[in-house]
Amino acid sequence: MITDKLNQIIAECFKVETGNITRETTAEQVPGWDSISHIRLILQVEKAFNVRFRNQEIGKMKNVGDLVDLISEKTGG
Amino acid sequence: MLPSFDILIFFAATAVGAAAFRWQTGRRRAVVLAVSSLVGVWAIFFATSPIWVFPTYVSCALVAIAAISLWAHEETWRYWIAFLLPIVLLVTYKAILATGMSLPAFVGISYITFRLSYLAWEINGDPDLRASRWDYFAHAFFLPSFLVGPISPFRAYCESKSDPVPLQEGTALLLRAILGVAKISVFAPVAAQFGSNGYSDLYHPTSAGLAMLGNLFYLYFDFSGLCDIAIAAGGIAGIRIKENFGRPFLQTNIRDFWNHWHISLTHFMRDTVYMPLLMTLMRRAPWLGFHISAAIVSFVMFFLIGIWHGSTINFVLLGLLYGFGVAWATSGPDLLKWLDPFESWGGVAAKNTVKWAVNLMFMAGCVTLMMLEPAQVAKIQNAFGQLFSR
Repeated sequence: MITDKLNQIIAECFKVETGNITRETTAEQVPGWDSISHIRLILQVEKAFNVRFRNQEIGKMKNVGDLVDLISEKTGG
Repeated sequence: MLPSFDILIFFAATAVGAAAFRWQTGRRRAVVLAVSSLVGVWAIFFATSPIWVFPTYVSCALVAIAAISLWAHEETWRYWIAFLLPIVLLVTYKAILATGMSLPAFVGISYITFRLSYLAWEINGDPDLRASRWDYFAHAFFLPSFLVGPISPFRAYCESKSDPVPLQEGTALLLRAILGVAKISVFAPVAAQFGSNGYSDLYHPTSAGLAMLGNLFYLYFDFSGLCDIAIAAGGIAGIRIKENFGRPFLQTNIRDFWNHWHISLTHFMRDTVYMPLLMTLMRRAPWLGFHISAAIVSFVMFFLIGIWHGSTINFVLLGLLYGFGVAWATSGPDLLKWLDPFESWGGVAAKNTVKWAVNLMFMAGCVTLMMLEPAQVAKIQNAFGQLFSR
């Protein structure tokens, strides 16, 4: 559920297919995913899942899987 | 001709540290690495300073490391003590220097304080990174990267403990060190000859461009050469050190340039200033919108980078120019967009070429601003003074 919703957000943000996004997907693999667009993504994720990330948590994520795990931790899902 | 004593000390201390890192484990590894780095740093940079200087320097670092050990992992206000204490030390030192008071040279103070602050930031984000104070000390005072960085993350040091750089890479690392020496001793001086302090006249329209480019390439060869040596020496010791340059001159805008130039500083400022500030603005003042928020944060971040280099007007201007360049690259309009429909006629290639050239000269101008001598800075100040007094 979290994964599907997050993949949808990522796909909309970066104009990619959801099928191309896996837990191992990193920012380098997605065109246009740099530190600035990362901030925009995080803000959208916070709004969509009603969570709030700490700055160090944002910088620590290495791939989509890390983001899924963090959302899961914060939502108890 | 015998190598100088400094170089011998550098290699001896690095060799001892390398041997310890590769073939020792646990606390002894960190202790030997820390002590060998300390001896090397003292011998090369502080042996001729007054006797109180080095102990004072080390004591300041020890206080910061103690704060990091105690509070960096906390999610309370005490984390900020651990994070800010090294920065406060740096700012205090630079502020006293700026008043004209004579202070001993705390060589490498910027890079040590940035490494320690970054260490606090990293531990706060991942308490699993917590290690012994000897490891923190070894990381902060690591001899190869002591003078000019890179500001390599503590994570890289930790990962190297369990997965050191293979010895099989030794030849490549040695070649890299030789390349670094060649950059410093051959390419940089040649570029300097074309720079504003060489044969080119900065104030003559036909040679100003060459002078600025000479300055830019001099800085690149000098700085990246030192980083090559640091990364090679670190790799020989088994420790992965963050890359600091990645083909910056191929970039077509200032933002991409800074993502490939002095990468470790860019990432440090991005993680500790840019992203937190931007997130705060977007959450507290969403009415500003993303582009204005990003522009404000770009100016703040590069203003800090500018005044970190120095406190005179040219460094303030430098920071503002960088900020403008990055803000424009992030949020400004693409003035050459009209060339896009002509892609098959080479329109896009022409656009990228123009952007590349403008970017290169912009950076060359900024670096020249940084390298101006006091008399030239005074000239700029007078010119500004006259401008505003009319």
